[in-house]
Amino acid sequence: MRAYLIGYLIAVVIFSCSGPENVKISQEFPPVYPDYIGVTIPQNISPLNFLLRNHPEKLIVTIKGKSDSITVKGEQKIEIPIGHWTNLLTSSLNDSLTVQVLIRLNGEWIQYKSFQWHVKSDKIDSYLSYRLIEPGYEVWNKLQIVERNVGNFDERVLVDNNLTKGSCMNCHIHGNQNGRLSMFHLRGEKGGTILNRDGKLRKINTRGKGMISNAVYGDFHPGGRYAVFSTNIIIPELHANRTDQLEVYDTASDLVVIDLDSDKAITKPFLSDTTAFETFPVFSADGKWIYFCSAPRVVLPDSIKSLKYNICRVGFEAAKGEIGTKVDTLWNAKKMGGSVCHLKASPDGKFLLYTVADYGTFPIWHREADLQMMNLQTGEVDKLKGVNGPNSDSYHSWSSNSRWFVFASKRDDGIYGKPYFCYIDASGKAHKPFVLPQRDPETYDNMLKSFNIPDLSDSPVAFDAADIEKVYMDQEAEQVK
Amino acid sequence: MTAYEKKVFWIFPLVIAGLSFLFFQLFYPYHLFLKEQIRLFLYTPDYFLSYFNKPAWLASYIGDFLTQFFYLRGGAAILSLIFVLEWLLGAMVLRNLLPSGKVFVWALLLVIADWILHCDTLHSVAVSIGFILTLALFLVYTIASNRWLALISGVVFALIGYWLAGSSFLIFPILVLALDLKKGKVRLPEWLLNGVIVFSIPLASRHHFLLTPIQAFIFPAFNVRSALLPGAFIVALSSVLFLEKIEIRYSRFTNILIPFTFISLLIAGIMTTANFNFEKILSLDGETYFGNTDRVIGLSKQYNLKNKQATYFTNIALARKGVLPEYLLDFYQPFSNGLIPPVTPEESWQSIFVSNEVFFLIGDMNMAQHSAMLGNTFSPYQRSSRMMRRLAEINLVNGDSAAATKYLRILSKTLFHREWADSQLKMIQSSESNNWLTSKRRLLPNSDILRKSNDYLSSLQFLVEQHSDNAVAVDYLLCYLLLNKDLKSFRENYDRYCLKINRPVPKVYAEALLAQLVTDGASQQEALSYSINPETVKWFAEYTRIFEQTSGDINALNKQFAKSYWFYYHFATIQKK
Repeated sequence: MRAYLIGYLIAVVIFSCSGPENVKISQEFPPVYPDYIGVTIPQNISPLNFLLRNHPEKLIVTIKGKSDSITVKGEQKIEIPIGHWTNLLTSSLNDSLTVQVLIRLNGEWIQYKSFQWHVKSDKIDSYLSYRLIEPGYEVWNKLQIVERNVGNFDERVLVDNNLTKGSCMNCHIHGNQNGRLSMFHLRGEKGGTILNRDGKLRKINTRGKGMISNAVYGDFHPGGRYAVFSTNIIIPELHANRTDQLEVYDTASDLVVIDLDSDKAITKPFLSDTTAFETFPVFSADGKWIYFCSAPRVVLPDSIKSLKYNICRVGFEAAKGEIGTKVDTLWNAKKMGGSVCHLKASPDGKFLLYTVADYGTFPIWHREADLQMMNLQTGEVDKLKGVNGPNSDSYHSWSSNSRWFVFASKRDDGIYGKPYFCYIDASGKAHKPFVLPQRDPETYDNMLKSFNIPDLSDSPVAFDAADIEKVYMDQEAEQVK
Repeated sequence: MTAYEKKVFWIFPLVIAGLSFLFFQLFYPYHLFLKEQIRLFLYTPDYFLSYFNKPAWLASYIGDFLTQFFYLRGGAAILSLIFVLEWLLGAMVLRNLLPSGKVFVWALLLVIADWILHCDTLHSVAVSIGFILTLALFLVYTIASNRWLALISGVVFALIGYWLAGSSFLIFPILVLALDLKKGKVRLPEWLLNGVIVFSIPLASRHHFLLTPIQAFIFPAFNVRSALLPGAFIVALSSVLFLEKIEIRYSRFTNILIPFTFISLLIAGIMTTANFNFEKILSLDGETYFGNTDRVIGLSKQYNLKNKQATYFTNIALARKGVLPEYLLDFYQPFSNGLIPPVTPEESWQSIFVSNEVFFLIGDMNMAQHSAMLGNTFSPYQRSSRMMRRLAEINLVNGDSAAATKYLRILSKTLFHREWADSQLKMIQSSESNNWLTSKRRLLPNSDILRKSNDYLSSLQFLVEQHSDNAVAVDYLLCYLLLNKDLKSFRENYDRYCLKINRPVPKVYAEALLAQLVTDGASQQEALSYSINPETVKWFAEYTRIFEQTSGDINALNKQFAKSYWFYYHFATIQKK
């Protein structure tokens, strides 16, 4: 009996150690998920773990760099060891990794066409914040704002609305892509805009006298003293056709700058009149301009398809805290045949990234919504053909070195947004984006929440959910005047 | 065991299992079906790991694993098994603590408590499992043969108990104290250490687990009522301790009184906690979900409930059979709220959960998807097998295979929905279709409108404008108008959509038409063009005669005409809460 057992064990070892035989060479790329074929990645990204959609029995992946390689085995998915991965990237800067995928499917070994991962020495900001929310948006139940270290798989919950009486929270952003300056809106009975400056938290009621709502979309001035916001009356409605689902439009929207030192609201009559809708304001990289979206008022919802937003800009003088009087139009919606929203200026001042849809101001549910990038020096517009996918691409944010941006894309299934990173090289060319890696590549398949408003920062914020709970429950809100 | 115990021991598990199975299987099965529907148990590593985000991970994982079996018609057996285990372990723990001969009797209090709690939709199996784990951990603790081993194991269990079992573990220090009292050696510092650790861990860890203070002390339960279970144990323990002498002295009396008290407690508890009306509504919902249309109608007739939700499912069943306008007023109708109930923040999560059914039926896929998303979002755990299935179906109908695949992939990782999901995935991959899909897709709109999510009239009008042969939508539109007493619009839409349909004029339509034709001063020829049954005309004449004679006396008309549209039109009013 003992002899049989030993013989059996030896046979198991021998047969399991035997390598692939009669390998069939395929000219096709492997059906990997996520789509990591030919992507450009930063040197400080976490491992690009992936799975195969055709459910192989065995999977062997070899990743070869200039001087190093990793071989990882699995059944249908792989988890690349993070230490070895980091070394591999570091030794392959500005070079490419070649990825070979070998599988056993229905007893047959198949080697797929190898593909590349282009490694860039330009790092991406190490932290990504996002809101996790079901894709209903106008209603919510359980919400979180989460901060993820993009170099590994560590995640931290910054805000959980279970601790703030189920309040909605939204529009979290960083100033200068830095964790020392950030804000988000916390709604509800004890809510307010939560401003983080060097870890000190303030709660501000941003609805000043004469304003139509609390602050909604916003951006920090690079100096950190001011923030510009839109105020919006937001109406959600449902489409009836099968391709569009939700439509959200403003029946009123204005702009305001808030001096965060004195809680003073600054505006101009032309930014708060009723003949136009102004929204999605951002400061330019040097803080001298406010870019914003503006559309002439139309009858809504009947004329929703005529609602088209331009890109405009107006001057801002930080020293005096004054908004200029002359408004320029940088992108004419009528001429360009679309409607713009979500403006984001690159930190180096070169580019303005935005989303274009056929009409309206809420592109998340517009399948045709695509990113475009304007060269602010030449006015040239790049339609980012290699970046945009089917279904909505929107809600972007820049890395502090202006080499990377992140955006939310529903390219997989049209419903759940995921964060994608895209590299812009020195010549301004955009490369194929890739989705935020997960330790288990099946994570996105099983998730029932969207990654909303992904925002990059080079450092973590100094607060967590417990701090926010305290601010919500115990702190009185300062009132904007 | 004593002779008495040996005599009665085997009766207990049989009685517990038998009675509880009968109760939950025959009188309360739909609550169990719903508990499975509001859950989504996946056989994936990341799903398992997600349990570590909250305390009671082991109790919750096992509890949710068992809950998936409520999908089966005999799912009540799971609860019976749990109750037997609770009783057995409870008795063993009591036995360890006190030398009473009646521990197996007193342990029944635990079963009674948990039985009562399980009558609540939101009481999860995880709470019961957490309690069982607590008892099991204590039994392991009692094995410790010396002081130091007891101290170490006590501290270790104190540290991990809440993490494994949740709030039930809070009784552990009390059990330790009881054991020490039994041994006659209460070591106060050690007991205090144990108690401090156990009671401070929920608060100390609540920010890590993102729980409010109350949630931390009751998790994995949803409300403080779950304390009834450990509370029942404390009562059992105290009773054994303090009533032992009385039991011995008056054993004949107590042999009758205790079982009588327990039975009374169980009955009283069930009567105050179990919601049999809600069970009826859940049966209508359940059978709607299972597609048993005739059963829904039969149950509805039997129950005769004056309830908006009950009417909602009845109307769906009638519409599925194509007889909505025939039998609409044979059932209670709270205006149009029983056709398409409003989905507002004031509604319960369960109302929102079922709101997608009507939209899916009438062919408004966007509203159905919106409602199903809300149903999932507002369900207690935000992950529902039933909503996944509905979302998959909606996207299959819409032809959005990427979205459908998303939901089907999730369902293919479950035990009981896997087969259906895999068959649908195969169909997508082979680009096949089937008759059901073809018929649903045929009714998809070709153009678009924008409407508010609660503008049901616009939705209905749009659907029938797009496809006037969408008979279900036509009936819903016309019944919607009738129930809101908009006879003018009813007649306009009837003329537009129903005159072309080759069917006898349904009863309710005929009655409404007659009333409106009179109001419009229609000619005889015009009236005849509707081919209304002459008997209905005579009946209308009779109604009119009595109405005029009695100046609209409800009592004069009630007996004969209670189910007529004319009676509804004249006397139905909305009662404001």
